Amino acid sequence: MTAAFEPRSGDELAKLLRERSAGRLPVRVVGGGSRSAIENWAPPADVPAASLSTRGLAGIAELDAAEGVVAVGAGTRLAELAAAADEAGWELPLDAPGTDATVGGVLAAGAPGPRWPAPRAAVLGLGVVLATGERTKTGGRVVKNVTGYDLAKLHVGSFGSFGVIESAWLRLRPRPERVEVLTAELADPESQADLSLTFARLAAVRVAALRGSTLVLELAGEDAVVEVDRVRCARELGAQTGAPGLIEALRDFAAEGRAQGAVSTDLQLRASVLPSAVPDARSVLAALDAEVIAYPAQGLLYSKLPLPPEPPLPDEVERLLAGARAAALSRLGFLRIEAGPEWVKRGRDVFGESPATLPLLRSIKEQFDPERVLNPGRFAGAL
Amino acid sequence: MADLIAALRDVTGPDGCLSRPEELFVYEVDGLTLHAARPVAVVLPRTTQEVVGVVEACRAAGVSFVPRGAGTGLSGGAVAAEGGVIIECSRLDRVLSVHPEDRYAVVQPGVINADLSKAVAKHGLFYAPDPSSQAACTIGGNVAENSGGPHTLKYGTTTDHVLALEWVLPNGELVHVGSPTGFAPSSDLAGAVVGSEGTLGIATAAWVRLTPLPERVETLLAIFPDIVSSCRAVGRIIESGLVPSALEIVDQRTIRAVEASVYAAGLPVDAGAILIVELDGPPEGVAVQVSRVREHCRAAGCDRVEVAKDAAERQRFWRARKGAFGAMGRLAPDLYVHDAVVPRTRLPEILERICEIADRYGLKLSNVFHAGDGNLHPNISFDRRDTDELERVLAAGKEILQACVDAGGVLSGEHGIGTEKREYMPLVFNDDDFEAMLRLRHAFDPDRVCNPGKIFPSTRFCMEANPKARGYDRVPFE
Repeated sequence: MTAAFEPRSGDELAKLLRERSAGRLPVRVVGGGSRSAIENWAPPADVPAASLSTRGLAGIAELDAAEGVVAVGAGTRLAELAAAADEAGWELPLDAPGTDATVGGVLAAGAPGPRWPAPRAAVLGLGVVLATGERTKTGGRVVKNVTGYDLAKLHVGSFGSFGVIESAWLRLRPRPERVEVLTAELADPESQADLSLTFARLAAVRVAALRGSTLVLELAGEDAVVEVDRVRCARELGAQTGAPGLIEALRDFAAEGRAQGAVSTDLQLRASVLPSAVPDARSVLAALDAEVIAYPAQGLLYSKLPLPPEPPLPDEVERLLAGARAAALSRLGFLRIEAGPEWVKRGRDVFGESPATLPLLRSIKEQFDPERVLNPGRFAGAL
Repeated sequence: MADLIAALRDVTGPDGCLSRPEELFVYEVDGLTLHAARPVAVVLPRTTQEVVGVVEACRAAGVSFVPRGAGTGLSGGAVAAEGGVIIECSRLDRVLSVHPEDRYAVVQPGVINADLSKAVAKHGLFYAPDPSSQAACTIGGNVAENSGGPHTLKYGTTTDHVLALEWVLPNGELVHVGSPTGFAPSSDLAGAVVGSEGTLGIATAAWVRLTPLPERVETLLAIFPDIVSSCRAVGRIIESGLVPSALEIVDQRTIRAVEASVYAAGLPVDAGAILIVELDGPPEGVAVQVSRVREHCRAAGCDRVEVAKDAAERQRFWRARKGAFGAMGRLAPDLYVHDAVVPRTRLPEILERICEIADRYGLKLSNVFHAGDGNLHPNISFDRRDTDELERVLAAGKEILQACVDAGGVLSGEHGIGTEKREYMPLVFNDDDFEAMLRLRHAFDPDRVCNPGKIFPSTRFCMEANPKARGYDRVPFE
């Protein structure tokens, strides 16, 4: 049984990390646990990592409804914050999957959602406790800021490798006047992806996802603008009003079967490519019998591949992963294993980072976490 | 030094390295003319490999180096504060490729901001960040400073539009950070280096996002009896959830200076302040927004609202805004352009406070600023030959910054810290915050050779060299 910590304040967190660094005792930082599956496999360590939950750092410190900004503790549940923002007339621009997802976890994982694919855009400032126990801040509460390095960008998406997010100032977005969810069946497989991209780029469309032959659209904005695009989608695609909860179903696809501790028996992949490469990427994944959701405007594809119960990986899946490595080297995209059984993860870097980037990541790790106590082995390059 | 100059000439050719005093003179300052330092040489590389060669030559000679774009920066960032070599990127000036389908372009750092938008306009696209100096400033400089501009309210600053960078590390190694897809497989290193003011390396190519040109643009000019009521209108607009592409306030002193200058736009010289509101997007939405903005301005006490009839009139409105800094030349020989940010709801009180500070110091203050972002530009007109006035300008500047920080604001919204504000950084950050920043600095530049003497306060020079060695009692390097 490994130790579990749940500090109740930034000072407690700082004290704990100072002690862990001094004793070279590793911790595994956890928010809501919905992104826990995204990690490299590491051999059992002599000193097992203690669990460090940020859920005790919960609460909305300040929601400024005139300004549209909010200060929040890392352990605050996303759902709770979204409801508070809504009540104040604003929308929280974070919609990562997972009912227990926390603000800190979603930011640390840089976890995109269908409506808000870039969590970094929501962040104005962060409170971060360094591995050596310093409580630091970066950014602030204002919407425009070039005062010092933009360290928030470094921490968002780094899975707690360089510090533990304690709190955040977030920018809220105006709540749209009207929201419509539409679905359309795109019969011709050849033109599905291109057609989706065209409609994804209409002014009012904020979600466009292709699931099988079904295009799911969410339109949002001023009533008149939504109406123009709704009419166009109905006329040209035969789009109809979608059932409630469709967008949430898209969102949760990326985390299904990933309750904390559960081990995935299929291979869950997230691919990032240029919009023009989405049709090809879809065909490659479809040929592997994968279930795929593609967001053509963002070039994001989520997929689940069936796996045999034990090794080896089918040749065609091996080839896909090898090809993805080449894509990462060329910087034109990446393929990340977001969940899968241990035997698939062993011997691979699941993040799909280019090997050329790893020396720089290691230099940063050495500076920010010299004793390697924060999530050792978990992140890209097994930092 | 002669050896270094010979080595630099080997890399760039004889016409790519300047070292005579009269050549170096113009590089002693950037847009902030108060802080001058002469570089030992200025190089003008033509290729990425030449940039790498220059960095290697500097390292071999133990001399620091400073990347520089057009030198329009307003915080001293492009000045060789410690007398190193300036690497000017103006000859790396090509748009390498444009990808309209995937909405990005690959450019060299010396491409001029406005030229990029011109180059991609035929595809119905533009490059959104638009600093006031966009006719001269370069993409490389914008990346270093995370530049903003009037339209960042809706479109975001440079960091929101830089997808990837080819980057020369301070040790001369060439790396790529980010991806044209806009998503990094692991850490967002492109995001981490944008706005690092040339202290973490040099961009030699940038993959930048292109944005569709809006279908409709409407520009409104609202005339207010005083500046506080114009700020109130801004507060109402923001709180209502409207997101104009620009919300700019010009105060009376600025209006009068503009109207007396070649930038004259026919503005009412008795107006207390004007608010320029630009709305863009699909025509159906813009029409609704125009009527809502009118309503908010009226409720905040404006005298009248004019809507630009055509592109010519829109340009006339903007001339008043963009020509403001030029027109200030009529008020005094020198202009100190401040740049601070406050929460937008605090604008009315903070402007009153700033006016009070300027009055107390007997200074000529004017305000022209990005109100929608809470990004103030209190401008002080002065004559630097009057040493007493110069001292008052600096003292008032510090008080203004302190007032903004006390209101929950920060030291800079778009100009950067550079040499200008580094001594004020402790108003916002404590030693632990500096420690975090210095760790990033050390990961990229452990030897402190890339643009030293910027961002971090001089009392912490020893920290900049070694983050573990803290203490104010130590003697700075200089």
